[in-house]
Amino acid sequence: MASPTAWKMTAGEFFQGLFGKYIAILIAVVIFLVSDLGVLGTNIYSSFRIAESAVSINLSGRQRAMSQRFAKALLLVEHDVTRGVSHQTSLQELEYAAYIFDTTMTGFRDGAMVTGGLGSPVFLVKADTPEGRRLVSETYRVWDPYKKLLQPLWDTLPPGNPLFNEKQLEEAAQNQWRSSRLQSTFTQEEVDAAVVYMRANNVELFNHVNALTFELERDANERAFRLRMIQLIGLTIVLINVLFTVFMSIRDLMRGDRNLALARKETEEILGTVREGLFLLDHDYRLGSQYSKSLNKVLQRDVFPGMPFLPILEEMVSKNVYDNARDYIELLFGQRVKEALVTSLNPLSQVEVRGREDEQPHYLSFNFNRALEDGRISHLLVTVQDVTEQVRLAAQLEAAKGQSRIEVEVLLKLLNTDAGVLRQFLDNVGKGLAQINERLRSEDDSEKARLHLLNFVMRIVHGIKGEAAALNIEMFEDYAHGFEKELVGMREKGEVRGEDMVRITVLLDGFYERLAAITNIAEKMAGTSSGSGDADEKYLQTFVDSLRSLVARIAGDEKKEATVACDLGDIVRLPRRVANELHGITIQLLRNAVKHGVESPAEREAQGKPVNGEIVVECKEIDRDEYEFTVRDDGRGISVGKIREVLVQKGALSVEEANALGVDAVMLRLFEPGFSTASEADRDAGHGVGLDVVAEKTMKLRGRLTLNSKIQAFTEFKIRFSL
Amino acid sequence: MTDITEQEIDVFVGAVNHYFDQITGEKAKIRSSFLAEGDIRPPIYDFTGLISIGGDYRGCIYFSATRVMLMRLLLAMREPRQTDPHLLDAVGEIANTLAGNAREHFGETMAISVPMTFQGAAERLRMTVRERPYVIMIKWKQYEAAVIVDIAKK
Repeated sequence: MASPTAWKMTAGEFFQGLFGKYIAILIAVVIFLVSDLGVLGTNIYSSFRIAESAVSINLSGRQRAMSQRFAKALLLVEHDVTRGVSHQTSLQELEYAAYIFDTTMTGFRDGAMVTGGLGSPVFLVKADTPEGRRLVSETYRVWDPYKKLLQPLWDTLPPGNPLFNEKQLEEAAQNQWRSSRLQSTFTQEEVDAAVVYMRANNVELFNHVNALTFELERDANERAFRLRMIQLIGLTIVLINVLFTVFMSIRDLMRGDRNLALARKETEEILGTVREGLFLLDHDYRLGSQYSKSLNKVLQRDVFPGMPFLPILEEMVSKNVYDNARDYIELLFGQRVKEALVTSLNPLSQVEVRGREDEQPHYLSFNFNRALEDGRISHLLVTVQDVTEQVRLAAQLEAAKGQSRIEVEVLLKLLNTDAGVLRQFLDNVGKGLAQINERLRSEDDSEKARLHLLNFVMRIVHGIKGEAAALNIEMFEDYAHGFEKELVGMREKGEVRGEDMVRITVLLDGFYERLAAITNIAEKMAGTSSGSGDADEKYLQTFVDSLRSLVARIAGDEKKEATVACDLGDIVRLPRRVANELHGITIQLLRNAVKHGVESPAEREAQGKPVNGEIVVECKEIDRDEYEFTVRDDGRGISVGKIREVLVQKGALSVEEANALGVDAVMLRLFEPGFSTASEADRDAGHGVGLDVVAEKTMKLRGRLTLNSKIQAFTEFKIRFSL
Repeated sequence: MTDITEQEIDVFVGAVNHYFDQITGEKAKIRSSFLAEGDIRPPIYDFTGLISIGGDYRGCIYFSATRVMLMRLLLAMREPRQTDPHLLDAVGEIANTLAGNAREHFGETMAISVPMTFQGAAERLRMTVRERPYVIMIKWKQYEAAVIVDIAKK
């Protein structure tokens, strides 16, 4: 939008323009003025000269008449004298004609005021051409003796010739027209001498003044011709000047058009080629008339010139982002706000947008720059880029960084873990995964078999999760937890489809990848770690530490207080295979103890118990090669009623069936896959896998599991086994 | 998570299932799915149709079936000639379907070769790209076949 002050020009710009691109026009104007004034001046001058020439020609013609007039008057005087009649009238006529002739000749010779055609005085310019001067001189040569012979005749007249007007009388007196001899009469000889001279020279005198008239006419014609020529030249110059100006103007216009077309073409090429969306936004938030071709593609919308921008934006981004963006654009149009200061506020520098063409998340980056005209903001130049790929790469990079962080974390934790324990753990994981894969391969596709398979996979994954938690390898624990959640989801659907099998296979593959990564790290570590210290002692230490850290973590998560007391000295006398199974069992039982057994501190306090729940883990050789392994907590005990309730809730039993079930039968239900009393599943409980694993591992040991519990007092698991 | 998702695997398995459905009117089902890991090798039956993969991925995908399954398939197609070349053509046709689906799904990111067919164990099938190729066992009527996905992102 052009502001009213947009066309103001400084003096510097004016002169720069004057001597710059407007110089041709300036020259044309000067030439026009000079030639026009020249023609005008010549015209005025010539018109004066023509007027003068007209007077000269007129008076020159009068001289011809005068010469004949005073000749005739002389002949009348002679006739009157001869007849003896009064000659005064003829003599007055002679004097008057001679006086007019003589004063006019003076004008032709010197230039003077003379009596004009109508009797009034006019200025007669002298005859200034060489021929004119010659003719004037020739006339005088004849006239001067003629005048001398006539003078004695009119000198006899009384003063005040009535044919003269006052002005002429006054002039005649001043010029001493009459001599002072004052004679009352003239002689016959004087008349005769004058008549003889007149007869001899009258024709010559007439011819001279006649020739003067023609000369004056010729001179006037020449002047007129000169004037026409000057006018013609002047007009020609004006015409050329006009043509030149028109040519220059057209050339400049064409050049301007060409430059404009070129600039337009360049702009179009740029707008047609750039990958970014480029457009201008005016004060009404409308798109400018030109925008880059890729704008439609980047915005995934059809746009047209003058289209309002805000509705497009509103359709693409969330309400919050839209509101912020509108404020931001308003800010940018504000004259007082510095652009650099608000750039960081741009809510559209990287924004997720709703595309029309596909459902994939799509990211755009909008940049706004002010376009200034005469120091005021005329438009915003908006650049839009599709940054989806950059965002995706950044996310990948972030994930890769996260992965490296996990690896470093794993490495640090592994450094604190006994190499033997770790190797054993990794072996167990490898075996577990191989078992899953083997079952996947050999499974038949009956519904029942698939549910079995699911429970089988779940037990192994849960076992791995527990062991990973005990060793504090979160990377495994988290993955196993996610795996487990998916398995639970499948089980809850009640139908396991072929696609679920593929999903399990993909998850299994992911597990293998992690196993390979940690095995790799562990192998590298094995090469560097020193094998110092007693192996049994270190094993025991790791065993105990893992239980303590697990209890501490779960208690922290549950906002409870609990510690584990271990009496596990005999565990090192067991084969490692057995000890590892016991480790797995302990983990599941400790989870249950903290999650379900130990009450919250407030609850414990209310019951008069110490705030800190205690869990005891013991392993005793009670007879030769016969062992008893105990995990006991001082928590709330197992509520048979609660178990019945859950069984009814899950629809496994009716109320009557549940109530009819004996205590032992109810307790046995705890060991079935999928049973849990936790209302929500998290990584420590709720999937109903823990006791399932305990039962399975006890069977592996060919052990006997006893469960004792008393409400608000304790829960105790005892496993007796022989080697 | 691995670099291949089950949706991507489903592109291939779905292609095979769809093929059986279209041609015979009887759907094939996924019987099981596992990894060719350790001692478990990818199964290779009597006839195999294979496509090689390039572009952003590398490796191959193949469909391997027993003679009897293919014969039954030809029968369902009312094709009386059941010589080895015809059986090879049948697996080739299935591999072609695999390629078509892959092209449609992956677009320019995956370069797909012209399908190849083999009879019996082929040496090149012993080489794998993945540490653990995916094996998806397909069941159609009482017959079995396998789709092996052995591709990895570059």
